[in-house]
Amino acid sequence: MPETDSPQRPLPLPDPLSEPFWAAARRHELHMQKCESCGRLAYPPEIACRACGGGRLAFTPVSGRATLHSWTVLHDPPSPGFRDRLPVILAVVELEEQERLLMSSNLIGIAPEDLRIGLPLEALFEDVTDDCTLVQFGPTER
Amino acid sequence: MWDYRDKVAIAGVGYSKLERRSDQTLAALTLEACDAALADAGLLRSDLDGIATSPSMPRYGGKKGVDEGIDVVTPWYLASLLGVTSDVQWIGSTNGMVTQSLIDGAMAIIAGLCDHVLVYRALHVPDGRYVNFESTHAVGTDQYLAPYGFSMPPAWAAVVLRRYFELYGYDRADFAHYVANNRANAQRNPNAYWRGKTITAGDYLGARMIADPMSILDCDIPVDGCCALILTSTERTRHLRQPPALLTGFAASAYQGAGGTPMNLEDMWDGAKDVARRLWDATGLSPADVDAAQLYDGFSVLVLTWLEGMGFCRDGEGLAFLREGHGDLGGRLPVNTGGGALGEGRLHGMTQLAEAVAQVTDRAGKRQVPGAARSLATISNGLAKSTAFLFSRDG
Repeated sequence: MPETDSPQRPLPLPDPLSEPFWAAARRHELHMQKCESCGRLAYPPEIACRACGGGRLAFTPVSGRATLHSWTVLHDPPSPGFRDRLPVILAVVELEEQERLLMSSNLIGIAPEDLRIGLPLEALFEDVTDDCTLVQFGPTER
Repeated sequence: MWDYRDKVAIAGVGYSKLERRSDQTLAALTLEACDAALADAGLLRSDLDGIATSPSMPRYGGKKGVDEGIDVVTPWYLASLLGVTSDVQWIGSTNGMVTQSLIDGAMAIIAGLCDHVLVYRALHVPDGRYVNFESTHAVGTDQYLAPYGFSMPPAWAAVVLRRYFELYGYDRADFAHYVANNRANAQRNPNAYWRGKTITAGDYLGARMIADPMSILDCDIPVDGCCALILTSTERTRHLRQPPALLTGFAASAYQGAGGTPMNLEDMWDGAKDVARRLWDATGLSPADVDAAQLYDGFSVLVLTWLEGMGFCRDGEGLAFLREGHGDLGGRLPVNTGGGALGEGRLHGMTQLAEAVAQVTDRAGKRQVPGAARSLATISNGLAKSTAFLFSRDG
């Protein structure tokens, strides 16, 4: 049963490519694919490396440390499940392991007026249902 | 150098009426636009031997059907509507942008396969709210976006505009002149949806926010309607009704961004610069040769990334350029002289193409850039499926 108020946000339906990513999130770990040929990290999961064309990509843990690349603030719900989460901050974060390793997420625990490019962030894990954990980001704890 | 420079031309342009929600079927609107384009060129339906489009529906929101003639008009169906099924030598259909179809159509003429190719974009606004993500399951690339609320293109574009503002110290007030002036251009364009509705800088600053800092006036308006172009060889065009707009060169992008977000500023610049390099290589020309730039504006921020990516301004300087009026009619580089998609309505780049044709054939009326010899049209966001075309005046 969903633990949040109904109606629910759209939840990811894992597929063979994405299942390891979401499985790691359920363990409160952030994993990214790494190309075994060139070492480039990839997100979202890819079938072949978009840098070198290599076909062997294995999931590996990353730190979850990131900086704020950009954001937008929505005051209207993008779908009904966001009605009790407004205003919602939609963010693009850049993970520290690699330039332009970008991830779309939400920011929690910070107000829109306190945002700036480069703000240090860390991954947070929100258990939405028994079998779904979303990756969120918040300001780095000092 | 591209061997086929200036060998293919646009011979006719046609629009249906553009309405928010038409009481006519999409098929009827498509026929209206196609017949208008044929009449413009002085051709008959039976002269057509090639038809191409990208018949896709927008992915997000509303009641999405794929009913032929209602939600989409495929080129196979259009051939029968036009009664030219047995005349057609070649049909093109892409899953990218309609501008890929224009490239395909030009190649069909270069190859000698076709004499007269119709390229059209028909778009229908489905019932319902455009931005809602209605499923509780997000699959495919949506699974990395929709759970966080990134379920609509305006939100993707908003993070690009936000980063641009933050990096270069701009805010929405800096964009107000361009948006208001662009709507003024639309007032001079009889095809534009927004004809009769000017906006002021104050209207822009007070507009309803969709995805902060992007307001409703930073988004094109979805319309029911169609725009069609007739392509033929430049030689053949000279015997037709209208002066030709010569296709001097084109470039298409297969540049994939970083992933993780559908749009980001740096990748859009890189993609646009990649397109620019190939367009200028193919044509032997440069930004200094362009008299009017029709830059894709499904969202206002795309005007900036194209303006900079194509080499008209340095990164971060495009908004100051527009704010100072250099993109106005009479400015150093008139931009979106017909009102673009923001002022004409959403036709996925057809507005940019049609306006470029109008400018180099002296058919832009009150918005004509005097003597415009070359006009650029860029489409999409610089990433894969984006395209750029350079049209030239004949002679």
